[in-house]
Amino acid sequence: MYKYFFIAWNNIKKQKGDMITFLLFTMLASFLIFHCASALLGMGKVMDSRFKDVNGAEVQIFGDDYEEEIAAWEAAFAESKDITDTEKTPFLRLYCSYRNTKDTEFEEYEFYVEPFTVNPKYMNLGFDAKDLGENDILVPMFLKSRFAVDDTMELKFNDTVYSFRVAGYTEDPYFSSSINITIYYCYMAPSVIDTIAANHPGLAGMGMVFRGKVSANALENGLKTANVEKAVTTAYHRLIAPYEEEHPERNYNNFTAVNWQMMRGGAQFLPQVVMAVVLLFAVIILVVAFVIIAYGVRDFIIRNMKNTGILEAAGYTTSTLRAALCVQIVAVAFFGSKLGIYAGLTL
Amino acid sequence: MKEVIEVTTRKEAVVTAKDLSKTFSNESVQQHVLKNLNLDVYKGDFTVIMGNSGSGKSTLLYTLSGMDRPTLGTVTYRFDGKDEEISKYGNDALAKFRRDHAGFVFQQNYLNDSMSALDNVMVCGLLKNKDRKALAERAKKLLSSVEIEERDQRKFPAQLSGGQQQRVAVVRGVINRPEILYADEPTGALNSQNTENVLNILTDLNNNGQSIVMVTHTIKAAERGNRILYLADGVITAEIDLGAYAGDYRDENNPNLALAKERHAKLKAFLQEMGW
Repeated sequence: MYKYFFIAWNNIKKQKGDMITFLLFTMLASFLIFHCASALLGMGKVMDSRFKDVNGAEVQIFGDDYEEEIAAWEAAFAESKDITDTEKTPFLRLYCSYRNTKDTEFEEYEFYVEPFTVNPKYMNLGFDAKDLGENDILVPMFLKSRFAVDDTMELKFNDTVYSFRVAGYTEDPYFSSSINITIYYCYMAPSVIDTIAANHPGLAGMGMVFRGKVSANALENGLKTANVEKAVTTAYHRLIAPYEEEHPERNYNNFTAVNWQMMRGGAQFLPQVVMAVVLLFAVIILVVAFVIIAYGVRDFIIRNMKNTGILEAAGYTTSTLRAALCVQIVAVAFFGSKLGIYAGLTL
Repeated sequence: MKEVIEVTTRKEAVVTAKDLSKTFSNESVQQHVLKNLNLDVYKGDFTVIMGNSGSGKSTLLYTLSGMDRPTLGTVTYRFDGKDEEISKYGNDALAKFRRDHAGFVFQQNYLNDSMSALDNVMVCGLLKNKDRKALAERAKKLLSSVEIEERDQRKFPAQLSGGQQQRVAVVRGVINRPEILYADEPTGALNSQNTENVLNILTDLNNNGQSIVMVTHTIKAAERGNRILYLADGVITAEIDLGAYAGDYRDENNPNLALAKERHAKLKAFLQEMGW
């Protein structure tokens, strides 16, 4: 075996330029492949793990806080034979502009805000937020690139601007991607939630989020959470119908219904497409690298015909010399991949 | 017709070529380089093949050594009383045969320019020797014996003189302890001093029992052989047995000066007779 490495190492020295190019290409390709493959294979697992950490609920309804609506949703959840437990938590729905004070422009966005003092059984924060103060806000993790911890986030309602210290990030698996749904899910102090709700009735309104935990057995048997959501909303429409006639001025359809399987798939869809494109690009780089090296080796063989002849005269067979060339390419590709993966792990 | 000028009692034949023919075909032109040639190469001999350009000397050397296959006829080696006919071997079997039994020195040294002198020798030795440490020691020892000192052994070919390079090439040829060392005009590209050095190395190797078959077109190199074959138009037309090399016939300090002069005169006469 040593003889293969001996010749391969000598060949590498002779083809330094080609080999460095090949090493860099394989390094880049393996870096990208490693990243894409781990994202493609691991994204779902990470989301499932996070879902478990926060004791995720499979169905969530973000509705208004009319008494009859709350009662209808509770009854609708209770009707479902697949839902084993339900919980409701108040939340604030905001339409406002926001910015980091380091930025000049405000952007309009929709926010759902829950009080961080409430620690719900389902979809909890996953950490203790008791030390946070009135000026603190927890923002989604995907905003990390725009808001560092201790940055100031401003929320603007017409002429009124509220400033918050970004105290940390939330990792809500439902709203883990800005691509998934155009809502930022944040956490604030309850007193601030009350103030904003009271001062900006046209732009901020209290609502109620209902969370339903679906039977684990039913899920294992293939139950789709979308079907549970559909059954609950169908029951709700039936139960709320009498009130629609009684209060025609109220909009009982102003709710957002989400289920875990849909949100999980939706959060992954675009990143997976992007990763697949990058993966394809990486494979193309790898193919190009092998084409370059194939031509390089061909040229090397032609240039070194006499040295090859000497080795053959000494008793090396064509297959041994071919194997040495393979060892050379595999060794460089191995080191390139190793460096690429190492870079992938450390960056 | 083969003319035997002088025949003495022969030693054990290690190679036997029988009815050897080699024809090169180029499109419709066929060139018969070797024609029904018969030859024995003896163990321990320093056999020299001479002849005019195009007479088939190198072709004979390569056909005998297993570098090439004959068109017709056989090449048979005899090791420990066992015959091995290499003319019917495939490429891999021939490569294995060369690894085990043949060494080569060429006119150009063809050293690998990205390997040190030592590595150039090692790379050939690695095929046959599993013990790398022992191999390296043997390579160093052989290189030292041809006056390539340890410091120079680590140098690349470009850092060595032409004579040093050819000495490295000779060591490379004998690293695997070949039965026969084949040398194709090994001094053809060297100046007179380096020619002398390389010929001395070959003579020393032969004195230590190494069988050598050398192609040359110089009397100076041919004098080193004990058996001279003359090749013309693809057949051996004559041969002469000179006996062991007796030293330089021009060196007044040579203790065997008379014998050396006699050998020289004999060779000169032989070659004159061959129309050299």
